[in-house]
Amino acid sequence: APMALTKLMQWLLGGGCFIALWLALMHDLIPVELTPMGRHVTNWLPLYAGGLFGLASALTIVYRVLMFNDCPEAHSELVREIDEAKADLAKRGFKFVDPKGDKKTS
Amino acid sequence: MYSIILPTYNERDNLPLLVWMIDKYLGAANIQYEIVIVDDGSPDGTQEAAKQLAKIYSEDRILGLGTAYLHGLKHAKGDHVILMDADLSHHPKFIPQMVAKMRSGSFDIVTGSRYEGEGCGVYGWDLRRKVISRGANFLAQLLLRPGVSDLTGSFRLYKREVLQRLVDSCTSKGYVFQMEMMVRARHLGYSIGEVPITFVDRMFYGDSKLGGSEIVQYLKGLLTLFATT
Repeated sequence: APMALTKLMQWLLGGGCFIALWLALMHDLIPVELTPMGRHVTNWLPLYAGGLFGLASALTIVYRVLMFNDCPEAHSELVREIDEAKADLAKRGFKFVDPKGDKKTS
Repeated sequence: MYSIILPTYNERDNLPLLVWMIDKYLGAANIQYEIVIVDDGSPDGTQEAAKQLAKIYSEDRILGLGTAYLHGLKHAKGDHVILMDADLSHHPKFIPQMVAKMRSGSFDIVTGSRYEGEGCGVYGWDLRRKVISRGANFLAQLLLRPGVSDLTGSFRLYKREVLQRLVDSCTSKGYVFQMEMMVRARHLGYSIGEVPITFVDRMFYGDSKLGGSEIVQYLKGLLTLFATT
């Protein structure tokens, strides 16, 4: 069955929950003991979360660019097949147009 | 029967080579095919090339049309349709693999993937192009979670009625149309399989096809899909 929520709505919902949780923590509505370090992280949680996410994204993209599959053999295979195709088509009567403007002889 | 719909613009030189390769690989795999060439009024003689090819390979198998993209579907006689680029960046040798994949997995759609799978890859992309491609794909995966690794790819095999339904329900063009089809396909419950492909870019041209305005179009399209699906 199709999703009832658009992706945008899913993100807004998720973001809303995160913000609600964070505000609850900020206003001591959640009974949890926090160390000074924990307090600091909580105060700046959106920034830390955003920064961490940005860093993870950048690293993922860099990794994927480095691991990108180049396929030079696909290119050489194509070049060979193009020559084969041109010869065979010419034999079958195909008239190619010479890019320089002169008609090719068959 | 498999209908291969080729949208062309100024492909007078590539078209005969592509048809030759399709005949070679599909013939070897015993796949019954027809090629529907949908030419957008090319001034370079693409339609003449198509006529010559129809004589060589039989007019039952090669149909040249001068109408807009995807109106070719009306004239296609097969129960499966393959969409691919006509500039030799997509190699017909992957079509038998897509056919086999569709059979073995009972998929409604099989898409070629440049990014995932053993043997996938791209030739001819510089660093800038790779970074843009990975960045764009990352964003699309994050926002749309499409379940398909190559969202902007345009080398795909469809069951005919599936393609008809998707074409009827999609509204965008270009890159975004390819993305929209995959997203809608998932929403409509269609199953999508993937086959790793190699993509040989810019065989004959020197300029990169990805400028600022294309990136803006892509982002607009992505955000529209994000907000509406």
